[in-house]
Amino acid sequence: MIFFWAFVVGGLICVIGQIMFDVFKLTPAHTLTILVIFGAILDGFGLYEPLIDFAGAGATVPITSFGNALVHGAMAEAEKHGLIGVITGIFEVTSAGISAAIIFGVIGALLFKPKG
Amino acid sequence: MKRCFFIVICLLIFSGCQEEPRTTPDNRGNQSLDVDLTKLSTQSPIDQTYANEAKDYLKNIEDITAIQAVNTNDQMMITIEIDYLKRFELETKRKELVKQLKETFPHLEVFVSTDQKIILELEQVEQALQQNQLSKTELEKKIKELMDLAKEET
Amino acid sequence: MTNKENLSPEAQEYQAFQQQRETKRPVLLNCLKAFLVGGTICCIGQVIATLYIYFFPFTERTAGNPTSATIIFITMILTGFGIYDRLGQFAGAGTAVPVSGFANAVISSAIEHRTEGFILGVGTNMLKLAGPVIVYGVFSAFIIALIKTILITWGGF
Repeated sequence: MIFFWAFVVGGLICVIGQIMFDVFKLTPAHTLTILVIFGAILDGFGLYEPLIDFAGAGATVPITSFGNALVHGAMAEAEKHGLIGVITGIFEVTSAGISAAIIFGVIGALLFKPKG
Repeated sequence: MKRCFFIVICLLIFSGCQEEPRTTPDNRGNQSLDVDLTKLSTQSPIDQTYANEAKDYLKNIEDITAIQAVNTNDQMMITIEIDYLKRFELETKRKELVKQLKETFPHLEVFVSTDQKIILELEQVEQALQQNQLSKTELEKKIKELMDLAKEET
Repeated sequence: MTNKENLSPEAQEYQAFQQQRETKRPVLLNCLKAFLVGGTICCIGQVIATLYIYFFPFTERTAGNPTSATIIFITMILTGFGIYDRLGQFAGAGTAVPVSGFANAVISSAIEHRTEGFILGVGTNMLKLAGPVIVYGVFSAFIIALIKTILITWGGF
């Protein structure tokens, strides 16, 4: 069941991205930035976690989950340490995505040759 | 390429089809779901009466499809699974249950989890208890480990 | 959209000509392709997450991190061999929106600018697309968390 809904929800989020490409003629950078902000806003309203409970990876794999993780980290730290936690806690929960992208980027640059 | 996608879609649609939960009519002719749970022996190293009571209490609650519960002398670990389509309200339901169970068992530290990993681990603990493979200290250690695991954020 | 009154007649004519010749995008077909490819990538992510939950001491919540790392590793291989870009031409947002698209942007920039050296080439250009995503992600999370925290402490929500 979870695989089915991961497929559907993940696909739908990508369709939203595609509509931003084709209908609103936005660049990938614009689209991804808007989607991350959208994920952060949804978590602000407490709507993203239920979506993760329902769709599993369909909600954690798209870039929107990055926004969700940032807000989560900030809120968790703010509950413990007050307002300053909003700044100190942002990268608490999420680091795998950025770290892995950078690390494998450097490894990729070492291993692979550019084409053309 | 296109054929591949066709096959992938068909596989995924079939995986979405799943057998309906079994229903059994009770005396009043209402349909109630068979909740998946196993009662534990009170002869275990630590008396599991509270865990069994918790299971009895929870099995009548709507939408719950499976329950596992194990208690030690001061803690009780419970895991539940709910009807898939109701998973949007998973967290609210879980918080409600924690509150209700804390009132019913005020002398125990009650923890309710819906996490797949915790469910798997607690099922294994239940099986080990039924086969009398755990000592008192081992059981307490295991329950504490599971509680710590469930609280991990990263 | 430029204001038509400000343009000279030739420029207006050119704009009409350009809009006529612009390749029409088959929006519905693109959305379908994005749905299928994006959904498949998320499904593969779910398989990886489930494997981590069953065979390693990860819970549903903590399995997200190793899953992302694994997906990004696979993306590195696909990007290095040029497969991911070809898939991207077919699927558009289906490959750009998942975390693998983010990783592909970073890794392909890193590979491309290798000839310019590691500090000035790879290091400077790697985060070209990732930059705005991280910057505005962090900033919007800060604003949202700030508003929420203030509402909670003062409003008692």
